[in-house]
Amino acid sequence: MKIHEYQAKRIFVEYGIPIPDGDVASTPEEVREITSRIGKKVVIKAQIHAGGRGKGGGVKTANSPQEAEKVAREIIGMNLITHQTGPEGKRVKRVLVEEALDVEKELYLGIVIDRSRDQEQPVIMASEAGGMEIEEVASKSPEKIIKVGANPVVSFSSFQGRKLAYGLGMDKSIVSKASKIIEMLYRIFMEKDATLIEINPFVLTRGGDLLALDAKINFDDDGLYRHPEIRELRDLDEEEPLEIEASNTGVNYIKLDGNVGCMVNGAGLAMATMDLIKLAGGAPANFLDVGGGATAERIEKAFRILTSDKNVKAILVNIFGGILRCDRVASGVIEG
Amino acid sequence: MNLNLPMVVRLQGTNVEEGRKLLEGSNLKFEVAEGLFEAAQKVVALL
Repeated sequence: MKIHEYQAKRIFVEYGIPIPDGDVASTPEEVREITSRIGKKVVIKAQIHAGGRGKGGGVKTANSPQEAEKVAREIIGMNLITHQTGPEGKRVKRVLVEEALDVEKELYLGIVIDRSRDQEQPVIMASEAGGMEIEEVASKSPEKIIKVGANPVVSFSSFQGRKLAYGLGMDKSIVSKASKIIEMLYRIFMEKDATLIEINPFVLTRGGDLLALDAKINFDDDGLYRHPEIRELRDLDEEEPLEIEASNTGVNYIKLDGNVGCMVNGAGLAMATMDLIKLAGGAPANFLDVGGGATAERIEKAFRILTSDKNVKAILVNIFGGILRCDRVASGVIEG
Repeated sequence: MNLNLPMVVRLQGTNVEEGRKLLEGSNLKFEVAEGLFEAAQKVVALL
């Protein structure tokens, strides 16, 4: 599950990670009030789940409360299109208003689970090339990314934090501060069952302060039952409507890029079906598991979900009848 | 539902005969497959 930047920053604050002074707003009037409280130049940032907001015109600065209100009028309600939203874009409902900082250096900090054989553990990544897309840094100049694996059994050690901080070319005076922030990021990652945390950019100001200028946290859906406070942060407007409908129906549906719609019972058989479609030279349009105890009604709904994807050009129904009997599947298909 | 989409159905297991009869009795157009890879090949051929 993804959350918004302002929500991720609230979690940062709980863990003592410094963020710029600011607040979230959903009207231009609120933006003006927040700006006059901050009392200096501000940055107004559209709150949508996709990245690339700045390039799409969703991040702007303002020097006065009046200007902030005017900028907010442009951003709130706009349809923001970035490389991650798809061509249809996302409507902006809220903005984050923050003090503009005097930035000396833009850095990158991130934690992901590295599934490669030699790692198989959370990996903390840091780079001096902050402020740009980390995927681009990784492909063009991988040497600029420092990685440190943190074994969940022995946990994170402060020497690893120092190693990353020194690797970022930090002055001795701020290394322990940076190391503490990295340690807190690791704690969030473990304690909240995150799958990804990114601060890009993580900035060093001219005054020598370190702050998270941006914040991104993704959570493991299967861990959400342990974190009801995080589940509440879910924003349904940001999710694939077909996937929401599917989860309300009790169907496991993941939209993919291909054109063969699949309806299968059982996650394993669904995976095998997608593999075989690939092997036969096609590409699956979705993963769809109708589950074991599916009713004819649920199958009918699953059919509607799968056929409302406009990319679907052909359908493969693959059912191994067990608890879910074949005649029940057939009536679901016919009624659908 | 979009009935114009070509479809391949593979049913196996409990009550497979009843299921196939129901599908055959409907006016839906589809192909039937027995094996898994056969089903995948048939659906890709329909694209």
